[in-house]
Amino acid sequence: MSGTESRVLGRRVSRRSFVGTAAAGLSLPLLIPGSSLGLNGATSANERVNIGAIGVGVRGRHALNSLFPLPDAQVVAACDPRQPRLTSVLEQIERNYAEKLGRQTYKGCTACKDFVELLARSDVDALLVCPPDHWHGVVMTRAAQAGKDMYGEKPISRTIAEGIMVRDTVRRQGLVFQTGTQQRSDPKFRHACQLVRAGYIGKVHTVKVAAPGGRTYDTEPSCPVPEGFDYDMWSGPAPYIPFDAKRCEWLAMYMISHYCAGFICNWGVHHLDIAQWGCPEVTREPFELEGSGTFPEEGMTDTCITWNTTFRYASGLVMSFSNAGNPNEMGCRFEGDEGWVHVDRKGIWANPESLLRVQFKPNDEPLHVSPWINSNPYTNHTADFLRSVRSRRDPVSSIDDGHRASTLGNVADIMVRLGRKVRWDWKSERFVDDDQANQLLSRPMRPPWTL
Amino acid sequence: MVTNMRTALLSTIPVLGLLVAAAPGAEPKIDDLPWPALKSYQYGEDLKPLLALERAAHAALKDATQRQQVAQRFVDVLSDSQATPAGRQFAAIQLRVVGSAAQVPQLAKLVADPARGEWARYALEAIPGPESAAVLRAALPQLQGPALIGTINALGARRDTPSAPALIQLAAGPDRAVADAAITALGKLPSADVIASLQTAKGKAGSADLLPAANLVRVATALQAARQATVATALFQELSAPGQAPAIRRAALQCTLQAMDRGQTAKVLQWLAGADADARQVAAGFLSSLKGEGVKKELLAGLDSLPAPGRALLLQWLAEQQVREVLPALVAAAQGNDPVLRLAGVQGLGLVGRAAQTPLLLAALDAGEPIATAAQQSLISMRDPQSDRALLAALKAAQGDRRAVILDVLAQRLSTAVVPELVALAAQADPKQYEKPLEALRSLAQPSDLPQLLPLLFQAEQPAHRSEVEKLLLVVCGQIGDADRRADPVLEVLAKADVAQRCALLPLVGRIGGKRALEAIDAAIASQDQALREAGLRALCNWPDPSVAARLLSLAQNASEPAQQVMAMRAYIRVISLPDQRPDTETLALLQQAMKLAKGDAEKKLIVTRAGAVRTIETLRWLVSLLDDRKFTHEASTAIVDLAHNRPLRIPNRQEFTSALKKVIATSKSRGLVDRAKQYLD
Repeated sequence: MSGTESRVLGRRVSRRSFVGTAAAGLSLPLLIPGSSLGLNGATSANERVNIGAIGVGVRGRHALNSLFPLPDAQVVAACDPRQPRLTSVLEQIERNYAEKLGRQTYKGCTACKDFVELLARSDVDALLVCPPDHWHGVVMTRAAQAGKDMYGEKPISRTIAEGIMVRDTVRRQGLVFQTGTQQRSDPKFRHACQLVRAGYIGKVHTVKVAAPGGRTYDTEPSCPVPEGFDYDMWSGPAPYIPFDAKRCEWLAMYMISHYCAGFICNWGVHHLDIAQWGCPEVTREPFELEGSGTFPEEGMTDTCITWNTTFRYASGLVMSFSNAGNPNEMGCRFEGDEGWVHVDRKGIWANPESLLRVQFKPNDEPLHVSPWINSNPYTNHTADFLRSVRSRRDPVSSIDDGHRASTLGNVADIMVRLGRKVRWDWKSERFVDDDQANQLLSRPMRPPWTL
Repeated sequence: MVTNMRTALLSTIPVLGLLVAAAPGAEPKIDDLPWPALKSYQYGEDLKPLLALERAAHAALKDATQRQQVAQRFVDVLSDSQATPAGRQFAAIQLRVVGSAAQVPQLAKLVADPARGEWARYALEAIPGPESAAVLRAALPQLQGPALIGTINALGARRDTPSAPALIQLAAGPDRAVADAAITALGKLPSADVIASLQTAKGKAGSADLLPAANLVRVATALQAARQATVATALFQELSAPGQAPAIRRAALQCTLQAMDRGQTAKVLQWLAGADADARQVAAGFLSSLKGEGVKKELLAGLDSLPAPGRALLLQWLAEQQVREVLPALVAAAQGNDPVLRLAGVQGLGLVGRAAQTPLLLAALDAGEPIATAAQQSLISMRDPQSDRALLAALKAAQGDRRAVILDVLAQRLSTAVVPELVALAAQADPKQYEKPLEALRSLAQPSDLPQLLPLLFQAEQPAHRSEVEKLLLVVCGQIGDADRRADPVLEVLAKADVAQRCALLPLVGRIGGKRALEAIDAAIASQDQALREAGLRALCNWPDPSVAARLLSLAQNASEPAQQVMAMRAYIRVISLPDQRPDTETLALLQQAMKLAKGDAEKKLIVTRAGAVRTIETLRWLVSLLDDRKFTHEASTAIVDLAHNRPLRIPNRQEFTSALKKVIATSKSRGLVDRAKQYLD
């Protein structure tokens, strides 16, 4: 460090903020210690993984809540550009640990406004990365460069190019990454996919996927940024638009293309991921994609509202993907020549119905089983992540799986925007002979942010 | 989440009239598009003209002439000094898709312009061809601050090799932010000069700054992929040396393994055996990348020579790969004293273990954490149906918590063969004995099991026990696809039952609902037998939808017994606040009317609580008006917080919600409620 600033992965961290957030770090190198990764030869089975939380909004709080029941992890730092929210979450974290320890108070979790400060913390082993979608690519790439294992919200990225960068960096750095597609840690989804993978419905010829459609929002006038909200930081790599009271809020931000590709990708990833878990061909083999979508004509949002798309594979496999009820039913349905199984969060259905009670045999192809902590798949998914941090094996929703499912959603979005058929090649991760579609693989980033 | 999904879905319905299909029909002529509106577009205005232009831009991609014309219009807006910033920004983003070399000269004039340079750069970054790259390179000396950083980022994104010399200079410059941007861009432009530049930057940066080193790893990886193995290997060696930052060192070790043509497996075993924790971590993560027929055999052969930490990691991986030969080693590990090895053994048995290992895993349930939890997981995931028998035997001998654990395991294993045993256990009077079996039956029982499940209702003497059995039966009947047939198995038993049994069955019939169920309830209400009449009334009060609301209201006012009036009123309050096609404002009016009709405070409190599900701003206002009435303060507070949970209602009415929530926070004595209220203040 020199002068009044330290430099970490391309962003400045002021000395003042360092003193405020990492007092112990001043006398320590800002490196990843690897001390709690369970691999230093002196592993205690009860050793805790120290967690930093980046983004503690709606999704971030869900992730934190999933972590609290687990004894082998502890949140030591959190960051968010909204100070009031950060303060409130910090109180919640500290109260949780005070209750666990049977104390009146607990102080052991520090707040950072800038995620770069958090990445510089040597006592943070792993991260919960839950900012808005337009931040995923930058935060995840930089966190990977800093050597942090990650639980990352889906989709992996706002664009396909960012997703490739995240995946390549995670793999190059040899890190553990759990995508936030927690349906894989729900036994009924696993049962459905295992039925398909083990051949209980015969040869699969059709996969039908549906996710909630998007929505529109009326225009909102610009207004002053609320006190304590660093809106410039929230905007990050997205174009800076004067603030209004709606654009940063759940759900509107998911419908504005600067921040998210819309539910066709953001929500679609959940069930598209189940489609590939049961039928890996959908994200391994090249496909043709056609269909249509509808977009808002006015208001403040510009992402797809309804869509009906068809993926065709050389083998004859067809996967249709629509918003729920247009025409596919919510969830993921696999149809084979000997039966079908349909699964969503409300339940699992099959024909023949006896498939629902199948006990798998030793020779059936196994699927990754997340730990069973309680009936909340989110907690079990987080527990699986922590187990992988120790074992260094891929968790149930690896970075590759997360990126592929996100790509399906992003490709569908690009196709409906162009309004014509496209062909996708997984090997090159580009559209085939289609420069125009390939122009939409990336979006500009506002400086200083880049990948 | 389900509620939110439903809200999102429903909310799309009224706006479908505003939508347009992306697949174009008759496209408007380019001159007819709203270009003037784009030029004067202000942030925060309706997106309508911009959305039309975006559709036109995508449509124009099909025709080279049209594309050129549209692109020219966009660059004209971008160049226009009278155009608004919002209009220019949008034009630039569209130019990324439709722009070509023809627009580059105009964009070149804007690159250094403080007001328009950022948007020109957005477009130039994506327009293919050497012309746009040359403009960006030429701009570097003219720019500073964010404009310079953005241009460096754009050249990096383009992988523009000719810009490397300029970037190398900038990487060594005094402006830290500019230098960082240049270092990041250089990471995408592998060459000998770039490596030297990054090494210099790394030397200056010291161990606290990982940026130059991370980009060196990136460059080395690219060189390795480009078959420049010698340079890459040297870099990996340098970066993986002891003393390097652990994150960088592990990355370099990882890349070293990836770069090896042969001997990877031996290297992995060597690192697993060694004392270097970083190397061991990388080796463990690399196991799944090892390819080749003999790999598993070679690893298996090396297993015995590994110390405990590396051995545990390899054991787990071999089990995950379904290598059956590892079973004896897993059993030995699971029986041993080393906690790390024991955990790995227990976990591995869940993947490749057979029924013969069930007793071993059952014994491990006593081993303390984390082994006990791992044993439970393994008992669940072990794919050998024969294990069920051993588990069942253990269940019979087990007591207390152990019994609960085994029941959980059996339920999750989908062990349907265990249903008769569970039914016997669920019939016991002690809640500690029946609760877990009933819970397991909710996962396992099917409609075909109803003949053995229904007698539980007659055996359950305590109301709480009967209620739990009813819930189970409701779940199982709910599996029958046709809603009107769901009560049939119960009605069949009802037809042959004596009066006492019919009294026990009727409330369940009411909970299930359906046309035939209602006929049976009506018959009971019309009966001469008082017990049957009361059971029929209870059944009606259990009805699952609002279709019986009018009858319930009538009973609430006219039933002969006060207790029956209260029961009917409570049921009425429940059904009118269930989800229905009725508008929320109407539901609120019904609840407010019920408030006037209800005689007891308990019923009134129930009405206030149920109002939390009626999502209108008028509900909030009504609840706020009740906050000052001490009798209802708690219920009104709870309902306000429940309402606030609904973001689509809360956000547009933020001011009123904030005021209401602050009042709840100030007055409520419930810490949990106050915490929830605080969550909705931001």
